[in-house]
Amino acid sequence: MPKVMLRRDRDTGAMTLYVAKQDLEENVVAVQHAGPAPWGGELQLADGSKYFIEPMESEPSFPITVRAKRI
Amino acid sequence: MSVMTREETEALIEEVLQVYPEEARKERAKHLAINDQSVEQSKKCITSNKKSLPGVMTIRGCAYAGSKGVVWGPIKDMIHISHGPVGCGQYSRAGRRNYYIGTTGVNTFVTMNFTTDFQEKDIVFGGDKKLDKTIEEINTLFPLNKGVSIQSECPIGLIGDDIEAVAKKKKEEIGKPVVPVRCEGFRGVSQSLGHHIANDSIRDWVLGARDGDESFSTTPYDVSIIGDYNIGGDAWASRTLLEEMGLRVVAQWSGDGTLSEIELTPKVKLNLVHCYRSMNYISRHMEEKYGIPWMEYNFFGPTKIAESLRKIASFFDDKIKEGAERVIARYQAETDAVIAKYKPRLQGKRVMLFIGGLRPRHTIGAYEDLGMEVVGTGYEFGHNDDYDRTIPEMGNATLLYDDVTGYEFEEFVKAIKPDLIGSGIKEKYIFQKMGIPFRQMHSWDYSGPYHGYDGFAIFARDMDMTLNNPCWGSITAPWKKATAEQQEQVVASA
Ligand code: SF4
Repeated sequence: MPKVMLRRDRDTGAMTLYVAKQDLEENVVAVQHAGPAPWGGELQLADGSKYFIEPMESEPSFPITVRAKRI
Repeated sequence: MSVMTREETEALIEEVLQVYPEEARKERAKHLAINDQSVEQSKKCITSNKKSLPGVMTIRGCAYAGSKGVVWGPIKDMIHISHGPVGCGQYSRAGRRNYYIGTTGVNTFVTMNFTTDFQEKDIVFGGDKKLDKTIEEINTLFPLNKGVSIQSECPIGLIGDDIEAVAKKKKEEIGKPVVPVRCEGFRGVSQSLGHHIANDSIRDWVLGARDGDESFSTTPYDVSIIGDYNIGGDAWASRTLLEEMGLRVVAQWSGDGTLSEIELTPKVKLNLVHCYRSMNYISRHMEEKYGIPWMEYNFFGPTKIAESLRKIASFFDDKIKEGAERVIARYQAETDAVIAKYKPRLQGKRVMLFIGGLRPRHTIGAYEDLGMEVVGTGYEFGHNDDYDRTIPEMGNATLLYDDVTGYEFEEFVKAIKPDLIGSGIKEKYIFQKMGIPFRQMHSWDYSGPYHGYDGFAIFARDMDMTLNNPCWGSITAPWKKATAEQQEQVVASA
């Protein structure tokens, strides 16, 4: 379960997922529960990989560090 | 030589790889690539941040170098103890040219070397007592120090000393921050992990010091310069531009920086990141914890400077936006004159680079402003995200080499025949002896600053001075020249 940081890119408004240990900095193209409530679940990245984060009660404020599972 | 095509470059890589044994060849092949701007993700074409192969000559440093040498070392009013044997600190002492203001040995300590000087008995019985005593002595002899950091060298991790416990104890005793940094040289594959460890130790031991303390009066225009190590005065040349456009620079990380500047950084409105590689970690942390946005900028060469100033200004109100335009306009004539003078002398020259954290991509714009072309570039310790940022900057079919080995670099140079090479001291004399003009791009070859408009003028002058130096015409000894000519005549007459 790597720790990942989710942030919104100021220029493009796109959400990125960043994993320091893996140098991964990738756009999130789809979120399973896109909010406003709940928020989270499966995240689909632009490179095709998927991560799972525990759904949160509502959309958090970004950036935020959470534990995610690669699926 | 004219520009190489994709096929030629491919063939070159293939040829260079031939000398390696099978396994090594496979591994190295992943680190050499031909730039293709259509690739969106660098990891599809180049592998980076992997362990160097045993037996090759690599140019990398160690985690201790990344922490003590790069991130912590320039913080001028703290004392950084090279904890372990004397060599690691002594042989790298003052080599990085981080300029600073202050009286060395009284209130600033950057160019001095402090070490616990481990001997055999410290390895056998542990060095915690010695460390304790060293901090005590330091504090007595240099009472104006603002804090101490303990930079672990390899043996500390190997013998399992508890430097955290010593740090906590001494912090109470001397009443100043004492920061243990677990940056033993063997951690990670290069100095890059040292940067990360150093960032994390700043986060855990220093950054929160003034949380909840509102006594520092802020302005809406507070920014900090992150990842500028003031090599030859770089940070100063950058700072003047920012101040001129109306911003207030609260902190410099870490060239000419102080502990209190670091502690005040969470109060700024925007973090300006120059070296992304070594300090993105702390910037991301501050964004999450304090809500401070960060942006990468590039102060090499007028094109990129103007672009960056406008981008910085876009975070602020019209006053700053006007300020940015004013600054750009003010230096216009000056830079035009620099370009008018040097461009004709440098036009069309081809450059190969192999440097560290940000320069393999950041300096490209400055060379292009002078009409030069970068035909090959690579990072000692870059990661995927660095190459992601590099690919759009480089021309198609140019060469990318990650953690290039001594052999590969020489062979590439022989084939590509660049007009100028920019790399470090370890490469300098090899290439100079091959008769190729060379600039050290880590320490600016004892020159600088290269950042900002003032720096660009120096950059242009230095490149011209190196490239057009008459000595390159005298590389072949006169008697050898004569025989070469005679042989030609013999061949011609035959
Ligand atoms: S690898 Fe270890 S011994 Fe070598 S310089 Fe780095 S810390 Fe010192």
